[in-house]
Amino acid sequence: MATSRRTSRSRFTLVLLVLTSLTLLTLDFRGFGPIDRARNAMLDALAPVGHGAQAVFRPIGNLWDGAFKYDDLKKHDRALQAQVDEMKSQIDAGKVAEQSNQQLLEQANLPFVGNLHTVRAAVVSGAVANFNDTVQISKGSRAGIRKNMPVVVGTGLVGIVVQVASDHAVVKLVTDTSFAVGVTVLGSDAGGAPGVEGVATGQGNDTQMAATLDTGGKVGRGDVLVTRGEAGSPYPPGLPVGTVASARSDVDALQQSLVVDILADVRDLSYVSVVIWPTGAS
Amino acid sequence: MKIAARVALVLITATVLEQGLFSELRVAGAAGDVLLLCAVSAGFVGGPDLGALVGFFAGLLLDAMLPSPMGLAALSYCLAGYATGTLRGTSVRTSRWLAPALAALGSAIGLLVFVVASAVVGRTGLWNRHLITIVVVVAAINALLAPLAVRVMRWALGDASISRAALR
Repeated sequence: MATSRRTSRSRFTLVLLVLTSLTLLTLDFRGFGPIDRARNAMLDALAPVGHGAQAVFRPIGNLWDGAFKYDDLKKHDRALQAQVDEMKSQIDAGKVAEQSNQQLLEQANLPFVGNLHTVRAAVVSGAVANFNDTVQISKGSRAGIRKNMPVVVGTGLVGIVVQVASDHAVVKLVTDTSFAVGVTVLGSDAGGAPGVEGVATGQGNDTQMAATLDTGGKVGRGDVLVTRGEAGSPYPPGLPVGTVASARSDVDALQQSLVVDILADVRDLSYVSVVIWPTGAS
Repeated sequence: MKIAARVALVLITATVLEQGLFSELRVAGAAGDVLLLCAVSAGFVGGPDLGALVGFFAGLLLDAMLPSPMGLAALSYCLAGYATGTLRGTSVRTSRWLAPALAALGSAIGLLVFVVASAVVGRTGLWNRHLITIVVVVAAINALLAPLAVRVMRWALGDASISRAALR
């Protein structure tokens, strides 16, 4: 008797909590203001404690990396050495490539090169938990940062602001599985067709994204993808996203599937710039 | 009231540890999940209802730190705590392996519910090969930490865990 009473009480508690969770989910989807405010307050309250804890535990993290990523570091070292050797022998070719790349960017008149106002911020902590590729940055609404503003580094787009407190903000990285951005092909000397449009999405992979593009033109390895910047988009046109690593399109398909090498190194972010682009900001 | 304050203290400490320490100590790209560990150890110590309750608040704290929809982790961790408590109730014999085994199982349940719930709300990208790594790593880390977490949760739940034992 007592056991069945306890079981029914447990079920009642569970049902109540599940319903509360579903209510929160629904309210969040509908953009219920107090939830956002509570989240931002939580970010403001926890961020300093989290950074303090990170500073305290950093030596342990470094020790851990040294112990468990030694092989990775060696591999990385070998890869860098090979790169240096290759670059030494191809330095002239590199200069030519650099010039043509610069010309390409100038031709496209990228706002990324400096026309837009940006706010520079330090990355203060990495992703929490396992299913979100996010970083926390050291500036927030006081510095003019708003939700849905794009975030870049020198080499290209790294993400979008998804949460803003007064002195901190959370940036969802391009590698996050829920990240998507409209892209267009800039074209290349390899014969890529400029103007082909599509969407690039994060895959939970630190170096690559996936993209689907329309079949309006041939896209080849090395073609540069930049943000499309259509009306109402949170991204201005022309922010470099990545280069095409491989392209595949079936004969009858209406779209082509691409693997894209991300231009920005999201594994090693120290400082980022938030582009003050009000179109998508909220 | 005392129990609520102690549980809150444990959850806030777990949040700080999650943000400051465990997110840095990644194995194959996956980090331990101490908030989920709190949920399953509460289920182990206090039974399904306390497991669900502590899991709900642990998930809510995680939801507040992440850009994913609010309530997703609360729902998943609440179910993980409840499942662990129920499984604990059905186990006839106790051994020192029970806590780590149930912590691993409960953690796997919590993560899988999170991914399924994410897919339901339109976030389908979490179904990938990396998911297996995450489930295995989190289950292993939580199994290792389970004996300590159970002690801490026994302290936090105090009378609630004792009274439950007395009822049996």
